[in-house]
Amino acid sequence: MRDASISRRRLRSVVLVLSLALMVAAALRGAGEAAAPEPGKMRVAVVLSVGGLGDRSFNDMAHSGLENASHELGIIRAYGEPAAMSEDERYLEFYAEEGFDLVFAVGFLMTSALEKVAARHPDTRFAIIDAVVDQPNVASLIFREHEGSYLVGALAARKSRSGVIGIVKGLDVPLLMKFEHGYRQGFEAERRHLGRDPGRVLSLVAGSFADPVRGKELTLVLASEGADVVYQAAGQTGNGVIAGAKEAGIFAIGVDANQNHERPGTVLTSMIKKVDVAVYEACLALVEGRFETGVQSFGLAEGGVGWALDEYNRPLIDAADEARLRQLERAIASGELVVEEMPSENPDASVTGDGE
Amino acid sequence: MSLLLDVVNGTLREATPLLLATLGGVLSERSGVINLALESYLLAGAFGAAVGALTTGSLVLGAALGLIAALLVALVHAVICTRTRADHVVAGVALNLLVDAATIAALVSIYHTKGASPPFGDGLMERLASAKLLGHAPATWLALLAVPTVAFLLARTKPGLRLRAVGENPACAESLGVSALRVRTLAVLGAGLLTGLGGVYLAFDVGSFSKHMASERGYLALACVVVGKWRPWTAAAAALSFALLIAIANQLQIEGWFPDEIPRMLPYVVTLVVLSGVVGRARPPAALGRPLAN
Repeated sequence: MRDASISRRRLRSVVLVLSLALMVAAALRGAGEAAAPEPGKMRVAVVLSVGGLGDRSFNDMAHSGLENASHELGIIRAYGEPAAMSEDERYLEFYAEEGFDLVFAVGFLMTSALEKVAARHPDTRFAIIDAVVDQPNVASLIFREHEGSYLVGALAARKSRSGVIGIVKGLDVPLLMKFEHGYRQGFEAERRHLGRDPGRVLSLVAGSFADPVRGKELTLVLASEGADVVYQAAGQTGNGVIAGAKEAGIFAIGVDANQNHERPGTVLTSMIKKVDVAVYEACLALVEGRFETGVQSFGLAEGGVGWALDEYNRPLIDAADEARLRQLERAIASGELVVEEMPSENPDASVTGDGE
Repeated sequence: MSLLLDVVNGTLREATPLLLATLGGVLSERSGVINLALESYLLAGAFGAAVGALTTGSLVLGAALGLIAALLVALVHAVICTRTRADHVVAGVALNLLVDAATIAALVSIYHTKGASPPFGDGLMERLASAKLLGHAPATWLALLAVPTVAFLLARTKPGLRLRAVGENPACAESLGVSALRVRTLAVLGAGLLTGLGGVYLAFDVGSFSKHMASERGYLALACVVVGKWRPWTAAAAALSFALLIAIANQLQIEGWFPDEIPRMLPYVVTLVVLSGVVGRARPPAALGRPLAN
C-alpha cells in the first residue's frame, strides 16, 4: 500500500489542476454577467440577496419579474448573485459603472451597500426591495406584509380548533416582525368576530433561513403546545415547517411565493408578496419614461400582497371563509380597516375597526 | 409528563445527526486525521439520499445512494489526508466548500433550481412514517446503537487498537507491521459511513434536500469530539447533552423569554473552556494532524 500507484508528484499536479479549475470557475461567476448595450434599449440589472436563486421566494420572484420585463418590454437584463453580503457593494458598483439604466438591490440586507453606491453614482437610477434608502436617485419598494399576514391570520382563526396558532421566523428582525404582528392582529380580531376568546399566538425563531430540519423540529414543538396552524417566514427553513405540519397533521401557511402546491391538504394558504410585479412595474415605468424615485409601498390596495387560493387549497376553504376573507381584503384595501405594522406600546389599540 | 416526553423525543431527533457525525469524528481523529469535513459528509449524504429516493422511489436505494455519496467524499478526504502532506484543517474546510458548491451545481443540473430538490411525494412520506420504530426514524436507533459499537471497536478489538496506535505514533505502528495509511483510510471511510447516515437522516426528516442544509451540524459534532476528549462514550454524552439543551431551549422559547442564542452558542463556549484546560486536560491523539512520513 505504501508504494501506491499514484505517486506524490502526480498527485500534486492533479491537485494543482483541480485548484486552477476551481479558481477559473470562481472568476467566471465572480464578476456577474454584463450585457452589451444596444441602441434604444434600456438595460436593467438585478443584484440578488444572499440565498440567491432557488429560494422559491423573493430572489426567485425578483428574477422572474426581470425575465418578464425582458420578454415583454424588450429591456436588456443582467443579474448578479453575490456569494456573501460583503460582495453586495462590489456587484452594485459593477452594474453602475457599466452604465445600466436601472439597478435593483434585492432585500433589506443590501441597504448599507446601496447607500454608499447610490451616493457615488448620482446619475444612475437604483431601486431597493424591502428597505428604504433615502437618496434622490433611489426608489424604495416596500411591501405591507402585515396586511397580507392579517388575512392569513384571520383564516388561521377560522380553521384553528385549539385556538392556538404558531409562527416560525428565520431571524428575529424587524422585517419579519411585520409578518408576525399582522398575523397576530388578524387572528385575534377574527377570534373576537367569531365570539371566541383571543386565543394564543406562539412565535419561534429558527436562527437560520437554511435549516429545514430545525424548521420541522420547531413546528413539532409548536404542535405539541397545541398549535394547529403554523405560518412560516423562514426561507428554506420553512420547507421543514411544511414537512413538520404534514407529520403532525396540522396546517402550514406558506410565504412570499405561492406554496400551496408543495403539500396539498397541509398548506392552508400562502401569504403572497409580489416582488415580481414590483420589479416588472418599475421596469415598465422606466421604459415609459415615468420612473419615480422615493418610497413606493405595495399593499392589498395595490395588489402587492395577498393570500393564495387555487385548486390545491380550494378543498380546505369553504364559501364562508372565502367571503369573509374577501370582505376583510376590501376593508383593508379601502383603508376602512387599518393593520398596524409594528407592535405599539399599548397592546389594546392594536387594531382599529373590525372590518364590518 | 407529556412535556418530559416531548423533550426526550426532541432530544433524540436533535441528537441523531449529531451523534453519528460525532462518532465519525472520533473514529477519524483517533486515527490521527483531523476531521473538519464532517459537514461535507453530512451534505453529501443528504443530497444522495434525496436524489436517490426521488429518482428510484425507494427509501432503501435512496439511503444507499446517500451513504455512497458520503463515502466518496470521505475517500477523497482520506486520499488527501494520507497520501499528501496537506494540512488537515485546510483540506477539511476546502472539502466543505467544494461539496457545498457541488450539491448546488448538481441541483441545477438535475432539478433546474439552486435552492432545494422537489419535496418527496405522499407515497415516500407515508413509507418514511411507517418505517418509524416507537416514533423515531431507524437512523435514530442506529445512532444510539453506534455508540457502544464504536466504543467497543476502539477499546476492545484489534483493529481498534491499531487505529489508536496509528493516532498516537504511526511510525511505531508501522514498525510493528501495521499500515498507517490503510488504517487512516479505513477510519476516515468509517467516519464517512456514520456521518453519511446522519446526512440521510437530514434529508429523510424533511423529505427533500436544500442547499446548506447540514447547517453547521458537522462543526458542532467536532466540538462534541473535543468536549468528549476524543473518547466515544464521553463524546456521545456531549452530543446528547447539547441535543438536550437545544430541545429544552426550543420548549422555553415558546414562553418567549428565553434567548435562543445562549443554547446555540454554549457548545462552542464549552469547547473553548475544555481546550483551554480549565476542566481537566484535553489530550488529543499525539499524532493528530501529522501527515504520514512517506
